[in-house]
Amino acid sequence: MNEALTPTEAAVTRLWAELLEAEPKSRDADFFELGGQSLTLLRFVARVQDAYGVELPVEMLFAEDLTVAVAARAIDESLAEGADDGRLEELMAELDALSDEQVRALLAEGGDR
Amino acid sequence: MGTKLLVTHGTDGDVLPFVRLGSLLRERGHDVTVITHAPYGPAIERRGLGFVAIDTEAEYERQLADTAPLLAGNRLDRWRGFYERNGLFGQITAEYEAIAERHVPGGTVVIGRHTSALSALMAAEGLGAPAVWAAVSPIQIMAERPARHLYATALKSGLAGVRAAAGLDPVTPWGRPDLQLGFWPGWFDEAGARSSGTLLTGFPLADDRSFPVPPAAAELLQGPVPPIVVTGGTGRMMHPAFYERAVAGCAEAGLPALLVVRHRDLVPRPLPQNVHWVPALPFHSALAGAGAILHHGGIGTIARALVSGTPQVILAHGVDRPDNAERLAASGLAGWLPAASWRPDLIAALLHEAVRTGAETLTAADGLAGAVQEIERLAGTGRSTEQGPALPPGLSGPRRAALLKVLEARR
Repeated sequence: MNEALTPTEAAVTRLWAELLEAEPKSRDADFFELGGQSLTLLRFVARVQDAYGVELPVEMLFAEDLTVAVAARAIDESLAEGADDGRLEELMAELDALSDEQVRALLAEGGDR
Repeated sequence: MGTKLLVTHGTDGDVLPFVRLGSLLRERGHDVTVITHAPYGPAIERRGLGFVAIDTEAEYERQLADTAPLLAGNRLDRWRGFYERNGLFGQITAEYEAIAERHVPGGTVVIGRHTSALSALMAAEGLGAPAVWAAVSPIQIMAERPARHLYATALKSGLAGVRAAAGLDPVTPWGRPDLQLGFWPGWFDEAGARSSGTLLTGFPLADDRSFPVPPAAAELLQGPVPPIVVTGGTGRMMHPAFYERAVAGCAEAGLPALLVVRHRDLVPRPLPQNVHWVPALPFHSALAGAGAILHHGGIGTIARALVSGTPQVILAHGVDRPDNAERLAASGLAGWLPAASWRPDLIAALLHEAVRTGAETLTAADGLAGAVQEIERLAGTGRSTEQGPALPPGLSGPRRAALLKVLEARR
């Protein structure tokens, strides 16, 4: 690897090396060309959620060219979104869409899941 | 006790738990019909359950043969092609019609395989029957968000036709089931991405296939060295090198092996001398005599091996298998290798290790008995009482926590 990767690109490279048949050699390495499958991608999404606390957009799962750089950018953008007021609004909208029963269930369960 | 209509798709790991669930419901006095693939008809009818075939044996085999390409790539249109080539839009319509014909207002619950049984959601919407989605492995819950995206994009027009044929509004978004079940235990869920909004009942513990062990297999199982049972399950959605590498690993280990594979064309030729092929094996009676099981990581095989105390080595590739294997390995219950590491020496080392250390026999509640209780509770009350209503997909981990923070702030 002879190019300077951003910290998020480096993290994506590590995660893909763990999940895929081969280690990505650059930020332009493609997930599917490296032997990735759609359900491997779900495991990547789960690991990103675990590590960064962000849920990658569903469209990214069907992206035509899913490279290390594209995945890293999606993580960075999701993190940035989480930090602004828009995220709060989105969450409020999500909350409004829940039924009273669902809200009660969430409150009863607590935030440990 | 009312009518219970079960809809499922896939191979043994997906279908057999539903067949046995149907048997348990029937024992409790329910009128049960299973709606699934043609080859499972005899086993279902033998148990006194109603059966509706969603295809013919030839169509089913053709569809299985068409599943391998689904593993590669992520293009949305490959799914539309798969649905169209295999007549799956028409199949959903036929399932819904079979449900509607048997539906008794106020006394029917429809239980469908998670993600694929859209006909169960249609029954809830169009007939008012409580709907249950039951998942057989955690990856199905992880896949729900992209699956719903597919329904809303690549499959949208086909599904609109299905909905219109059933008299439903073609563009209304798909609803959620009244109850979502997961047929695996809590410890397995906690070993990977957690399944939110899902009531976990445990592994389905009993094997539904009962037939004599073939004589040649029996001889091997009773021989001086317990053989390695090698199986890739009953599907064809496999890595092309699975059987060849598995057999090479057994040969390298110098251990006798019993290769169990239904499809003759998948059997590597020539087979080494220490490997014997049988098309099927009754695992519940045969596994106890095996030294270890070398398999693909299907959840049905995992559960069977845990119950019979057979050490497991997993060569996992595709669908739910690497996720299952990781969860099992994280719990110290199996060794596993991803496809890039399927070398005979590595496989042989894991096999020797598995045979040497052995495995505990899992004692646990039968997940299907637990599922019967939940289904009866839903039938009685119209909703599950223990888990509360199913939450929207994707509401797990930090997103859930963030939503909770908002809730707290609002209180």
